[in-house]
Amino acid sequence: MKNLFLILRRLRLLWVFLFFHGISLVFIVRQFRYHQSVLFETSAPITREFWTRVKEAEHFLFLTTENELLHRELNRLRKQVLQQQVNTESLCWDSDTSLIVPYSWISARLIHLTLNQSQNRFTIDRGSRHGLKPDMGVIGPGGVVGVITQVSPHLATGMTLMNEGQGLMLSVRLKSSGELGNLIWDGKSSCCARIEGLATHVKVVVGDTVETSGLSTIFPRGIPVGYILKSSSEQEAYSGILSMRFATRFSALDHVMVLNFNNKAEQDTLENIEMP
Amino acid sequence: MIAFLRYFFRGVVFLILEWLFVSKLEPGPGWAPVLYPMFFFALPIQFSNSAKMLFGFAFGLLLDLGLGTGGLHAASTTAMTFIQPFILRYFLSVDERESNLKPGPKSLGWLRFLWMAFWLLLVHQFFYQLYSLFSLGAPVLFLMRWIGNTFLSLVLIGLIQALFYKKKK
Repeated sequence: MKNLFLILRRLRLLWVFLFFHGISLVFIVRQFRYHQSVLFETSAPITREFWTRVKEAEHFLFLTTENELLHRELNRLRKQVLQQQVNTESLCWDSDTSLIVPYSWISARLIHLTLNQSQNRFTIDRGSRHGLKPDMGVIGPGGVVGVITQVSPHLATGMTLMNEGQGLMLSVRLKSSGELGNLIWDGKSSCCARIEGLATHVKVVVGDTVETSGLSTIFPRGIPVGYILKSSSEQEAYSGILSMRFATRFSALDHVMVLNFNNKAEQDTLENIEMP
Repeated sequence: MIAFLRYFFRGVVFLILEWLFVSKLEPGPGWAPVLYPMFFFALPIQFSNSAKMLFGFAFGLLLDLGLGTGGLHAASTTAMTFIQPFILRYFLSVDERESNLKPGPKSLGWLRFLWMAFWLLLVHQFFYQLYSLFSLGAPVLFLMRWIGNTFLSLVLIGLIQALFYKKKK
């Protein structure tokens, strides 16, 4: 520090010069319009570049806030799309257009996630205080993530689509043909799963979207689950078993949405009534 | 104090000369010889460098106010007074530097004085022409004005010095 002061002191003549010279330059630029325009033309790209960098840094710093805002917007738009779907469907069957969307969304953030277990689980930062209950579906920006299994006042855990054996057996359908099947994860890869139970005559297009069938109270119809991959063998292709890649990138998951089917209790009660 | 007042009045005389006469000498567009650097050449060696720079800046600014040249003279005079001690170091011996010498043809001899004046005027005119053109798009014009004005100013200063030159007895 002492040396720095010594160096600065030794260069005092230079500071005095730079100071007076700077003032003179200000006077020159203020006096002549030509100098002003030259200076503006020279400095404009530099200033623009500087402020672009500053803005980029600012955007980067406020990415979390922006992400949350986008998530909220996505929530709103999804609800709007679903409302539109409900309205269109009801128009096909009857004239009652006052139907409301039977699903509502609760935004949450992932705080724990396993990817390399045979039973992969996740934890989110919302719990029963926020209206979460077991058996609620969880979706991410890409598509289905999993289902809530346990709930505490402030947190909730659940299982992802990557659950081997008796895990999550999701009813899915092919978007192009509407054929139904079941999603099964064999524990081999964290990116892919299989669809079983498809009719063998179904013509499958590689890249076709696999979506939720809507035949449960967990997920509404049409939420992406994955995309069909090329069959690894001919035998597999003709046996009604297909490989698919998950629509959700589990390794990059952050914000999720928990789906609440408003008529779930009513449907469950109705379905559990024993036949006379 | 008396010495300071003497320099002050000499500065005022140079200012008036520059305002009224020298600035009117314009052999062609872009040609603007200057005489006032002579005043700064003749300041004693022991004069503080910072004070010299402050003096140069104030003088240049007053000149600019009178001629409407923004800060062209202030910037070039400040640069010249900043460089002056470094140039003097090459032209003066150690003994001369330690004495209270006033650089001039009488004390340095004509050749040494004109060489010193040439380098200082070169610095002065470099900044003057650079800021007055304010563009690197015309290097030939800049070089012509820079070198030409340096020589023109040098001739003017040499003539004035010769007019008032008194031989050592």
